[in-house]
Amino acid sequence: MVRLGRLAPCLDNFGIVAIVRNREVVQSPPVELSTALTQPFYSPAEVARLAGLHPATILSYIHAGRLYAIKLSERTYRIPNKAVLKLLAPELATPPRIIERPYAKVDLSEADREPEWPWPEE
Amino acid sequence: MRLRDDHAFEQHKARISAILDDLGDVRAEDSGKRESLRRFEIEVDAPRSPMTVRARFRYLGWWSRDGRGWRLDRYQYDYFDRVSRARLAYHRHNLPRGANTLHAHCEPSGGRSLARHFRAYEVDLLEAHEEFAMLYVIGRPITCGGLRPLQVTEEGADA
Repeated sequence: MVRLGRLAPCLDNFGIVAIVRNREVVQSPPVELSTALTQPFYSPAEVARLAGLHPATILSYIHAGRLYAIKLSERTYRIPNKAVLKLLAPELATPPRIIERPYAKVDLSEADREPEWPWPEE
Repeated sequence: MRLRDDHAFEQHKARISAILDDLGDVRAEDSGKRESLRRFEIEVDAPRSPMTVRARFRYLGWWSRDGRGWRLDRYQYDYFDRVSRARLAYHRHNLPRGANTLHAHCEPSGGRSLARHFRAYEVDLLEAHEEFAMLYVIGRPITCGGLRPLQVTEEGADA
């Protein structure tokens, strides 16, 4: 039961909202993972904690190309927020939006115009 | 850069989309695949919505038909750091005094650029993205150190 109690926060990350302890059902509030991930980047150790996995497993995901990470040095990686969301709850991640215009006429002179700068105020 | 056929182009698109999709919400537009000129634009604001945008990665390529494949004629690879209002870009296109010129743009954090265009070599989209992604993660201000101003002749070569 102690072991189960330790697992609760991890399970919570996956939307598991109830565990049984001492024959009682203990409810935990559902976590909206999409909004709970507030940092732009995470270290492999932080992702391991969120996923309830060993850091070595996260590193093996990175090395296998299963998890995207930016390599800062030989032993330092940073994992972008969206990549973490895709690992933990892929159904919450917005897929790429690609517009296809196969018969559109392309004007090559457009390439000579510089993009708008500085960044337009919103 | 040359892609040998339409299938290779689709693989290129899928690969770039997959990489950028790990940084934020991707928007892309592929125009003219059934014509002789093709334009592929892909852009991502990072991190993902609804978080505050810290950076924009914007990659455009203009391709022309080359046999069964496609040849990259012009490109604009831009990285915008919204936090420090800085920009680094690698471009290949016509300039007022040079045709199809490779060049870089650099607008440093908190200051004016020393030149409008800088010298650059040809870069692959993934190489440029690797450099930009590193800048994004480290959060180091863009300084433009090491870049040399570009001077071009009518033919587009460095003066």
